[in-house]
Amino acid sequence: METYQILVPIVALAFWAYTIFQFIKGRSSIVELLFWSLFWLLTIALALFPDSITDRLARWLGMKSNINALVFLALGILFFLQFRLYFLIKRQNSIISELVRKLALKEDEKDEA
Amino acid sequence: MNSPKHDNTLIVIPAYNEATHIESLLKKIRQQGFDRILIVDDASEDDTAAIARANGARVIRHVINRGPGAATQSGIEYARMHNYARMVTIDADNQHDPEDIAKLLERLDRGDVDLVIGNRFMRGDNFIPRSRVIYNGIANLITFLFSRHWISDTQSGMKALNRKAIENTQLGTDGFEFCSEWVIKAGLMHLRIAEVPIKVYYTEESRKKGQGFLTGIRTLSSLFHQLLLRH
Repeated sequence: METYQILVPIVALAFWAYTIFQFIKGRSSIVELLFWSLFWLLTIALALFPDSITDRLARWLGMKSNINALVFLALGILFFLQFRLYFLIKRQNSIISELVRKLALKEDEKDEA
Repeated sequence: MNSPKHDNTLIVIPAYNEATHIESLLKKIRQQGFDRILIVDDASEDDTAAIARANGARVIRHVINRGPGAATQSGIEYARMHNYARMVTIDADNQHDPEDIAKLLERLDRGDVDLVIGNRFMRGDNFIPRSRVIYNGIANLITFLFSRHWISDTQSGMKALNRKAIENTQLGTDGFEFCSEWVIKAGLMHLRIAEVPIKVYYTEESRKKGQGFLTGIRTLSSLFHQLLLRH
């Protein structure tokens, strides 16, 4: 067993525990818990059985090399997360503007009364 | 006093750090017979709000800076809440001539349009920096691609709206990209648009404050998000 096969599962388990903690505290939804649980379990599985999983993945994606398949999958996940973050930030921005606007109009109503 | 025919007209001025211009602008607007003036102070760090109040304008204030699009939408919501029949937006940096307000309203009052845009390029005697001409051309093109309506000054800050436009306009972008979004959404809501020529005065200061290349990138990204992904 290589060193990374011990380190990666430990780090992934810590992140998984953090994900569960966030869900218990009500800071994330059940869908997020399931998504991240699957992600960290997959990371642990990849660290423990790197060749058998990536070879199967490469065959399934029709790629010759298992490294190519892994990079392809990692990029896909990264783009998805980036896209999701972009939407979240946009939404937060829009909520902040709405809040600022409501405050301004409410203050004006108070002044008028 | 407001001339009675302008009692139902609200002049909206989104402002951020415009203490040096706001007093003279308010005086010029009053000289045109408009007394219902709203300053949307976008969390200025100078005395914009105090000077505006001292000069008789109504002021609503954002607690944090959100950008000209957000400030304009606050003005629209104020007009909606207070049942104004007409609303005119004008830039706070004195680049517009308040004499043109009457021209925009005159066009609006013909009744065949809902939104009138003050066009800076229809007059031959306006000096407009080349960078602005280029930027505006690109912005017009982007707006056209999204709206299929050709407007030759989509980025103008001087606009007049009737009640239908006041009720139906909901801007989602906070920055300068709201100008393009406004034209596109007006098209989607079947608002009829016209343009009238207006004067414009560019100073070194107003050139620094306006839009540039980065705004263009933001415009594209925001429009993509607002119009393709959210609707």
